Order: sequence, then C-alpha cells, then structure tokens
Amino acid sequence: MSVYPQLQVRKRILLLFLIFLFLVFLLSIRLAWIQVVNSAEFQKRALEQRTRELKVEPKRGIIYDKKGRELAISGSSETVVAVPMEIEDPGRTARILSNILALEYDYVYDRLTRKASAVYIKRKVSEEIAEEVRRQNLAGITFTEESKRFYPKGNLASHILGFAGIDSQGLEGLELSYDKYLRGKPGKIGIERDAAGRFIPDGIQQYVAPHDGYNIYLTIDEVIQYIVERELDKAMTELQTSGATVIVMDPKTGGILALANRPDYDLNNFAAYPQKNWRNRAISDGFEPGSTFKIITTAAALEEGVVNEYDYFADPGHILVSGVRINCWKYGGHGSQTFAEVVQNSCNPGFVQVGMRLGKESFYNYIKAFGFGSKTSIRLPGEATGIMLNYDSIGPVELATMSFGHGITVTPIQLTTAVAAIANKGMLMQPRLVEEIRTSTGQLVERIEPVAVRQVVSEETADRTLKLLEKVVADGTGSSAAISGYRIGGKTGTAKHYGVEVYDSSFIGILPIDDPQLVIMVVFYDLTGQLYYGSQTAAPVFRNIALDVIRYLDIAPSFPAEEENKINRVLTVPDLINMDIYEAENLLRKEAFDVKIVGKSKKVLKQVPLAGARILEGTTVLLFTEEDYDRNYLIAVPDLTGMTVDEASYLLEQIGLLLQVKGKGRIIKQDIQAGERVSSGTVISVEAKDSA
Amino acid sequence: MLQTNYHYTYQGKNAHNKVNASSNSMSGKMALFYIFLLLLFALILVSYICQSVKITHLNYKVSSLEEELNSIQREVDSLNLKVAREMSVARIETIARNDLKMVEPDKVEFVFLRNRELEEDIYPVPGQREIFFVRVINDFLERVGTVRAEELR
Repeated sequence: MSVYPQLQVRKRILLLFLIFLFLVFLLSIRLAWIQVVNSAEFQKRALEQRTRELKVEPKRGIIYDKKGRELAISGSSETVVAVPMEIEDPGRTARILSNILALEYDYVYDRLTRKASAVYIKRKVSEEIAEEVRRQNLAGITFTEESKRFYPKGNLASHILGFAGIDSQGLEGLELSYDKYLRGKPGKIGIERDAAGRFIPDGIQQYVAPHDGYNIYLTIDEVIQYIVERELDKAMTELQTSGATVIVMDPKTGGILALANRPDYDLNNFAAYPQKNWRNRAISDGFEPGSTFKIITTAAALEEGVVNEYDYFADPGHILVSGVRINCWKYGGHGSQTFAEVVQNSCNPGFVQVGMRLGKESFYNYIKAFGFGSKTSIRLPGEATGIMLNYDSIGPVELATMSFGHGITVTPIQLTTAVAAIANKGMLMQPRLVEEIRTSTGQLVERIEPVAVRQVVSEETADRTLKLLEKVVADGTGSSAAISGYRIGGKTGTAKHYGVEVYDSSFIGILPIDDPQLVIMVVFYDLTGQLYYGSQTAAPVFRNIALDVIRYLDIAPSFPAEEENKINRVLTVPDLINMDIYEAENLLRKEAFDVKIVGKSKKVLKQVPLAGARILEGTTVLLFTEEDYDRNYLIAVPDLTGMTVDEASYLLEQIGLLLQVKGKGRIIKQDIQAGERVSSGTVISVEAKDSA
Repeated sequence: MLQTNYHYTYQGKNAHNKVNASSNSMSGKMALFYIFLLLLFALILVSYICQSVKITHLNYKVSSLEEELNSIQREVDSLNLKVAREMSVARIETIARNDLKMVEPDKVEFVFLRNRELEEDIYPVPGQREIFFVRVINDFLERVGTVRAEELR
C-alpha cells in the first residue's frame, strides 16, 4: 500500500519537471528569437530608445542673376525658445516678450505655461529683436539658430523669385518651382541619452551631414530688372491704372532678361502684403491684346500670301461683317491705303479684311502655332493659357474681331514669346528663366539650353513683318517709342473693357530691327483717366526702358534704313478671265505682280483687281478658280462721297470694284453704303453733282 | 638519543633557517613585484586619467572651435548679405544721383560713317589697301624680274 503514494509523488515531480522543462524550452526559444534571429532589430530598437535624433537643416541654395549677383541667399537667424519649467514669472515674461516680438499677450502666455520641455515663441527673428530679448535677461528664455531666407534686393524681381516659408520650403515663384533643387537634403545628429534624458558623455553620437541646396543662375539681369522696375514705378505714379507688366526677352534664346509687375511686394516681408500683390500677372492673367495682336495677323497673312505690302484697302471708318458694324479707332477712317499703311496706321477695317482673307481655319492654326491658348512652359507656378474661342464657335464676326486683337485673351508672356518668334526669324522659342544649376561648390548640375518649339513663319515673312513694324515706330502709331539712332519695330495696342471707360493698353517693341536682341513688352491694366492709348502710356515707358538697356548692353546704333529709291511702276492689270491658271500666273509674274491663286480648278473665273485697273507693281492679283471661293475676299466699299468721279474710279479699280456714274462733278450719293463688304467686280452706282 | 635529537633539532633548525632565508628573499621579491604591479597599475591609471583629461580638454577645444567656426560662418553670411544689399543697383543709383550729383546725358547724337566713305578716307590712293609687307615683296619681285631697256644695251 505504501508504494503507491511514493510512486504518485514521483510522477508529480516528473510532471512538474516536464512542465518546467517545457517552460524553459519555450523561454530558450524566445531567447534565441530575441538574441539570435531578431537581434539586429532589437538592437536597433534599443538604440532608438537611448538615442535622440535632431534634424540638421541644409542651407537653401542661392539664386543668382545672369552675372552672378545674389538675388536670394540663406543665412542664419535666431529663434526665441522658452523652457517653461525654468520660467519664473510667466505673466511678466509674456508681457515683455509680447511687446518686443509684436505678439498677442495671451498667445505668449499660453506657450510659456505649456507642459513641454521647450516651445518656440517666435521663429527667425531679426538680429535687433534677438538682441533686445537677450538684453532683458529673462529666465527660461533662450535662443536657437535656424536657417533663414534673405532677399537682399527687397522688392526687386519679387514675382520671379517668389518666397520660401518658415521651414525653408518654397511657396511662390522660382522658390517653389525649383524647390527640389534649392531645398537640399537634411542631415541628422543622433545623441545617446540616459533614462533621465541627459547626454551620455561618451555615448554613441552619429552625425550625417546635410547636403546644401543647389544654386541656380537665372537669365534675369539685375540691372535690366532694376531699370524696368524703376520705369514701372515712375509710370504708376503718373497713370491711373490698377497694375502693369513689363517683360524683356532675348528673342534668340527665349531667355527672359527682366520680368516685373505692379503692384509688387517686399520679399523679406511678404506676409504684410495682400495676396493680390503676389500674383504674377505676366503669366497668370490674361488681357485683351488689341492692336498688338495685329502683328500675328500680319505675319500669318504674309506667310499665307493672301496680302502683300502694296495691296490696297479702303477704310471708310467702319466695316460691316454679318450686319455688325465694326469701327476703326480713327473717326472717319483712313481712306484708301496700302497694307503697309494699314499696319502703320493700325487700321481695324483693313485688318478685318486681311483676317477674312486668311479664313477661320488658317488664322486659327496660326494663332495656335504662335503658342496662344496653351502654356509657354516657363516653369513658374500658376501659368494661365489665356482664353481662346472654341474653333466651332468662331463665326465671321469673331474672326473679324480676333484679326485686330479683340475677342481673345492672352497672357503677356504668350504675346512676348510669339512676337519674339517673329524677331527670331520665325522660330518660336520656349521662354526660360533659369540658365544653370550648380552645386554649392560650383560644379555644374544642369544647363538649361534654349529650346526651339517650332518654325511658325518663314524667315522671309518674319523679315517682312519686322520691316512693317519698323514703319509703325518710324512714322505710325508707335512713334513715341522711337529712339534716335536705332531701328526699332513695334506695335501699340489699346483695348476697351466692355461697357465701361476702362482700357488695357500695351506696346511691344523689337530692337534693333536689323539684328533683334531685345523684345520688350509693356502692358497697363484697367487704365482710367485722360491717358489710355498705348501710344500715350506704354510706348513712352518702352522708350525709357530701351534707352537705358541699350546703353547698359552697349548695343551699337544702326544705320538708318536705306530709303528705297525704287519707284514702283503703275501697271495695268491684264484680263485673265477664262485663262489657264498657270498661264495667268506666268503672265502676272512677268509683269512683276504678286499672285495669289484661290481654288483648285485650272481656269480663272474671277480676278481682283479687275482687268484694266491701274495698280502698282508688286501688288497681289487674286485669281479665283472656283465660284464661291471669293467669299473670304469680300471688299469693303469705300466712302466715295465728296470725291471726284476720276478719284473714285481710280480707287475702285485698285480694290477690285466697278463704278457707274450718274451726273458730273463730285459724288454726292452711292448706292451701296460705305463699309459694306461686297464681291469683287461689284458695280457701285453713284450720283455726282457739279458743285459749281 | 638526545644527541640525535639535538642533531636532528639542529639540523632541523638550520634547515628551517635556510627555508626562512629563502622565504624572506621570495617575499621581498614578491613585494617588489607587487609594488611594481601597483606602480604599473598606478601609472596606467594615471596615464589613462591624463589621457581622459586631455581628450576631454581637446573635446572642449574642438567644440569651442566649432562654435567659433559657426560664429565666423554666421558673420560671413551676414557680411555676404550686407554686400549684396550694398551692391543693389537702386542704392548705387541713389548715391550716384544724390551724393555724386551725377546726371544722365541730355542728348546723344549718332554720326553714321558708311563703310564706303570710310574706305575712301583711309585709302585715298587705289591699291593702298594692300598689306604693307605684301607691297614691299611685290615691289622687290617687280624690281628683280623687270629688265630695264637701258640695261639690255
């Protein structure tokens, strides 16, 4: 009997032993898991518990101008920090700090009494303020250093540079678009601390050095930028305007030498200005270009051959398109004039006829090819595309208004780039602001080469357009932009806001014409008051800027344009009706006429001017080979009243119309009213009366 | 028995004395060895302490130099900023206009010299535009290669 209890005890001991053995086995497995299999992970976790990492901010890259002058630099600045545990009298401390730091008392008091080891009171204060706080010798108030962005030139190039935020992150302008280059890579310091959070003197210390941001070199020239901004400031005091934009571009490379808007803001104190001042209107805001857009119509029309410099147009002061009356800016119109004079006088009815000749499809394609309706890829935040009518919604009236720059909205940078294409032998360049990106030690990271987008018009067309623009400045509406000794081409523009006496006026100039080095665009927005024409407002500003920039860049004066001594002969247009198209063309070319064939058939059905008309050599003779193909070539009927019969007859011959006279002397009445558009060969019946 | 005992005692005493002498000599050496070890240990300890002190001292120096470097860097940054501010075109123009009383030129006149006129002014005699030494060589060759009529006689 006594054997069984002993056996039971033994069994229990064995069971207990096995249980313990199993537990030890489990513990061993866990130990092996921690110490062997997963040791690296636990070592890392242990180290993380003991060490604390502090971020080391890199220095933000410097922004230089074209010549290596600093426009934005990074320096160190002091941040006021409070250690709440050490503050002796939070009320008094908060009062003193709120006065010096220009902060709310409650805000400072709240931060001083927080349960935290340290709190920021105000970050990146100026040296003077830091010194003032230091002089107070406040218990628990200390300083830490942080990197701060400084803009040594204040407001200069504010819309290009933009600004960086409190944590050195780009927020606007190039600071934002090139943030990934400028920002750099932060480093870190790892310091081992004990359980109480104190440094362990010989503990582990890790230091990963920060990589400073790259420096960027702009195409902007500080001196040109200054000249532009100085002239803008002067103009803003003289004109009643809501703002202005000036862009100076090198047409050969697309490099922007200066870009400024008004109103502007101080980059060192950007928060003190309303957000509308931050807006870069040169790229973000569209405006109705008005007559400056006629440069595009001119180049497109010359390229398509629908017009040449000697072609005659009649301007009775208005033109009727689909029953809508479109007025010329000049009351009474410009009368009869060549296309060169149409450009020189900025004649709206003349351009309407040219636009109509181009046709909707062709004109729309040229507008698109010049870059309107799409972004220029200038790499600045907030670029707008402008507003262009949908192709299908362009009717005759829309086509007519677009041909002289109304009913379309473009950004100043789009228009500058498009006109620069004409100055660059017809090649459209991508505008650019950054030339090079380099490391802080000067090694080249990236060079931003000029980018040619497309050849929009031929070199010959570009050259002819420039010559027409030169006449605008020499003798036309842009004469207030002329500079003695230099050949300058340009175009003024004035667009009235719908229903109010508010105007947008502009001037775009190219100089020198014989070797274009600069394209300067000046725009004033929302002009009110007495002065609002582009020739009164923007052109003089262009002149002042160009005058100083010419001296600064040492651009040599050009020889005055050689006066063309060649006197064009007056020729009689032969009768070409029913003639073979090739024969007709050969005949006209032999006679020194310019020819434009409209239609795909082989026989001439209509011609403009009509047979027998006496016109200057070089004038375009339009040959229509299909019946309705002349719908784009309707002719505006001139105002013949007051003219003699001979004068009227000569004028109508030139533009392709016929005259039927009743009576003698001066014309007192005409059957088709002036400004109406009629087919070539239409007979205008007039009544004449001898004034004697 | 006594003698034997004595002898034995004597011998034993002598032997004990010998052992004692040897033991004394050993303990002296051991003492010296211990002292040597102690001194060595003390020396290592002192040198370690000295080294630690020196490292600490150098660490202080490094950190003070780093601080100095930072402060100089701050000063450089601040001076760079000052230079950039002072070099601004707006400031230069203000000084030029206000302090140096400089003014812009009133009127600039351009005189154009056409190339043709310029060439006529420089080379009034035809052929003068040839390079000087080419002319000299040509003259020389002409003189050598030309036989005068009177020389043929």
